[in-house]
Amino acid sequence: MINHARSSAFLKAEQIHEHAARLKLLPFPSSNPALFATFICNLCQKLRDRIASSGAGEKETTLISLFLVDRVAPTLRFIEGASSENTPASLVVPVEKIGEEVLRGCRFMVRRQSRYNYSERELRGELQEALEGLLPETERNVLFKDLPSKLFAISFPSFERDNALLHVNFAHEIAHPLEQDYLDGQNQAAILQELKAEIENVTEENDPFRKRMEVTRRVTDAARKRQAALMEILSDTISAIVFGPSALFALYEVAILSTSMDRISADFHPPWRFRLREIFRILEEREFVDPTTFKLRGWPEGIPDCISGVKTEVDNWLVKLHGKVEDHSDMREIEKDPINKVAYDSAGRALPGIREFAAKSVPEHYTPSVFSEEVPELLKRLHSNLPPNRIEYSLEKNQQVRLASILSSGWLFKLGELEPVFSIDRDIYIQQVRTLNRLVLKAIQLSEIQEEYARKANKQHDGIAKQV
Amino acid sequence: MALSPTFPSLYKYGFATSRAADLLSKGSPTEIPHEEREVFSACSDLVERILKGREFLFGSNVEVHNLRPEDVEIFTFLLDTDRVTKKLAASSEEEVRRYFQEIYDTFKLLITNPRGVDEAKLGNTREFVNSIADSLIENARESLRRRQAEEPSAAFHD
Repeated sequence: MINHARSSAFLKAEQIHEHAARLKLLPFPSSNPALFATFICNLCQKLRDRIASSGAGEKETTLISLFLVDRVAPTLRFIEGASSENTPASLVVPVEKIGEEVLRGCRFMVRRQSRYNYSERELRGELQEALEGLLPETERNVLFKDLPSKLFAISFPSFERDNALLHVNFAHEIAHPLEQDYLDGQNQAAILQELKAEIENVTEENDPFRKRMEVTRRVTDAARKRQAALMEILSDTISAIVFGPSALFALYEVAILSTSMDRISADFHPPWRFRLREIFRILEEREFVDPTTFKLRGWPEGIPDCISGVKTEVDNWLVKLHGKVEDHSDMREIEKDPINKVAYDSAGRALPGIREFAAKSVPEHYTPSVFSEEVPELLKRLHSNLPPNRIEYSLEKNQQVRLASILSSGWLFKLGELEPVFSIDRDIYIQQVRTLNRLVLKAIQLSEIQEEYARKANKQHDGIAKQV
Repeated sequence: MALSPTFPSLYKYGFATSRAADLLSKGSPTEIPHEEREVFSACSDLVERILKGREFLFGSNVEVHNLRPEDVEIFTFLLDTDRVTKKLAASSEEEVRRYFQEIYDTFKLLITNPRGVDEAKLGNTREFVNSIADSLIENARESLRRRQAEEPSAAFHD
């Protein structure tokens, strides 16, 4: 039996190795997927050696088989989904750059997935931790030496590849890895004790042992819900700091698909209404949105006619959404369950700390003054069917713009100029949205090329200056 | 009861306890190579977390140092799945602490001075790692089942 288990595990490792070796040859927009494919090949080789050694017993071999199928094989999808053909290639490099600025020493791999969701997964840590129980430290060090300290796969819904504006949600996913830093700065034991004290008050059970067991289960449940709520809010906050109002627009487009705006999801994500309300609060605090009228701030005086319609439509949109999220029906739903109430009361007390932590974590904030300077100009370019990649003052003088401004102009154009077209002519609407996506992606690509050119020119200039 | 899908160390402790079960099945060890010390060290790390979880649930120490929700989870998991833990918990909470403390001390001794390990304590430790390795393998099967349900498409055609 042990030989059968061994040969079966050995063949699994061999087949995964072959697939990874083939995938490594695909064209990718960055070097990270090929690097990871090479790592998977090496890992499989190491596991084959371990399986073939006389030291591997039956339990261990069974677990290696499960590990290969459950944890290693699924990573092949990550590599394949990250190929140039499968990704919005021009957006991948800037997104990876944002991630690498926020998380120094980390690398990213953007890939498509079949599920309709944006998600993030750290690939190195999970495998490394699992192997701590299997391979000696010296072998693990050799195996992992070429991988970055953390490698994150950021997944997006497959068929939305060309929907550039929706990919603002990448910022939310990029922020998830900061969770651990935040959690490390918290006194977890004190939080558990605080939850325990509150849950003891709402748990009715006469038998002391049963009561302790029930309290512990409920504390674990509340702790998970509290943590998941805070982590989602942390990521939403960072997304709003990086991309401004676009974070709200992009998140709302995903929220529309939810079965409920008011319930905690099966994987403990907070209600959508709760999350959108929090983003509104961040945008108000950061002065993107007026806290009394709920309209967008930052429009310059005397905006041209071609974009005044956009302003009116976007303001109406924001006022309507604000009315929806301030309904607080999510909180009424939460309060129906005493454990959820304890979890969210505790999470609510931690929110100011989350906002402070998020602000400190992002090196470059997108501000209303940059928005105000760049976005109206970019809207004019979109209005003329030009990619919104720069502000042109004259033929000789033009100004590079932020990625956040490119995406903001795209969103405002879509909400303010194109959505009204939908009610008139759907074919024209589809055509115009396609054009908008192409223009936004082109702008990102051109902006990236321009930045690269400027970097090289500066280097060259510095080199000449040194020689002189 | 299964561990939650978010329990982070399923495979680490699964491998460590599986390997420890194999190693201890060969009888009382006299010399422990470095690689095997790492296995016992990972097992003692697991038992330390179980003890922390126990302290949170039953203990008088209000502040358990560096306690994580997973520590509580792994302890309640054992209360539900491990025959010995279940039996001891029904009679005395202190017995539960003594039982895990003894296993913890045995692992520590296996790392530093394997010749000094008492046969009876080694037997208890062997039984414990066998039981928890089987439970964790079951959990890995459950993890695989869940992942298959989550990802309906074939692995290479996303």
